[in-house]
Amino acid sequence: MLSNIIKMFEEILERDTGTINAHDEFREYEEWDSLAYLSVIAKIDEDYHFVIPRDEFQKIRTIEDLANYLENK
Amino acid sequence: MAIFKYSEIGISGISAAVPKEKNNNLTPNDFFTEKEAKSVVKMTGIKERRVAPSNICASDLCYAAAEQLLKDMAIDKNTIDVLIFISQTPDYRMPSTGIILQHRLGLSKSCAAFDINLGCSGYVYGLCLAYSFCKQKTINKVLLLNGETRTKVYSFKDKSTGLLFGDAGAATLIERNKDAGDSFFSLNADGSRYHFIMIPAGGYRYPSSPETVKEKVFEDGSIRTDEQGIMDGSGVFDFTIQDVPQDIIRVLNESGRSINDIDIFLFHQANKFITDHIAKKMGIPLEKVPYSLDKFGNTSSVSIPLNIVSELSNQLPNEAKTVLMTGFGVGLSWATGLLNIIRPYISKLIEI
Repeated sequence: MLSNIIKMFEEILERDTGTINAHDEFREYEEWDSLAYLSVIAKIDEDYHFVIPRDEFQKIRTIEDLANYLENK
Repeated sequence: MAIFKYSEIGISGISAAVPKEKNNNLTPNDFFTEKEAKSVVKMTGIKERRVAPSNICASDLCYAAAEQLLKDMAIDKNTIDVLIFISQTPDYRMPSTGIILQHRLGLSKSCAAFDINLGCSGYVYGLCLAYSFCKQKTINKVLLLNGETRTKVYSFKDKSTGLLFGDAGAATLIERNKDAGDSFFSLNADGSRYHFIMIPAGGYRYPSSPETVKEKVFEDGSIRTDEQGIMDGSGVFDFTIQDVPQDIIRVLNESGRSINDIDIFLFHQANKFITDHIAKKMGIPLEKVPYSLDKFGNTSSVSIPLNIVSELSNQLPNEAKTVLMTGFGVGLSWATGLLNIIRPYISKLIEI
């Protein structure tokens, strides 16, 4: 799961492999904007058929948090 | 459940009018940086919008569209028995703008005329209502008018809405048609999320005052008054990607059809990223999903008929098509229709 999420962020933010780490707080990324938010929610909906409610997504801080959250769904 | 089924009723003509003035989202301006504007264009697909001058109202755009359509189709005005005007930018708070249009268009005094206050779901709601009127044998034709001047509602200096909206008006003629087959509609409402898209002040809950017309600066740098529209973008996004596909599935199930049976999918033109996502998720081929929001922006309830006039005017008049249309937004309110469109007349896009 974690490696899938890292790959997803690399694709959405157009980052090189290895520049996204498990403990990164993704909202701190310079490229993080509303389009990135929509892209992440849409990609998760596409791959896992699940829309993360906004108030739950707000509690997710790091890449790893997101992977754990999806694993528990 | 608000599910409706009609037989042998159809759309016989469609026209649309837009203001001449174009506003390009990438033209440098004092409020959006180049990067911000590019990001909005990339996310929504909205490049250009039409902007009405202060002397053109939604009703004027509808009037132009309706006059052209009735003239082109040589319709006897006495055969129009119902006029429905759908708008959230009416001429006055009272009376209903639809009544003024009854007179301006030279329709009979025994024509029913009234307004409906709905936004992005308004075309599908309006069609469903028009179809129900047509079940009455005493009703010949229904004229559905959708008009909006949303550029007058939102602050250009609002980061989340400033570049999205455009102005337009459309006219649709509905009547009984033996070839139309069955049509299905689903209408929905969720008032718990009324605050997602709204104009807070200027009604009777929070009346207009010197305070409500003062510009305020918000956390994200947006500047607007309480009498201008607000939109909770991510809330609307969640709503759209969850509730809209469910409604499409409900209508398909109700009609016994599948996605493969549908020739054209007409999504409300609000955000290409979101509607492309819905299409991909549902297995709808993107070539069946026409777009015109790059040229006109989000025109609220006008976006579906405007999309037809702009993108389908060569195809629809020549070949019968099964169409699924879905409108969603302010309310929150959303509606889906599945109908056969049987070679209607489509007037050339009018610019005023």
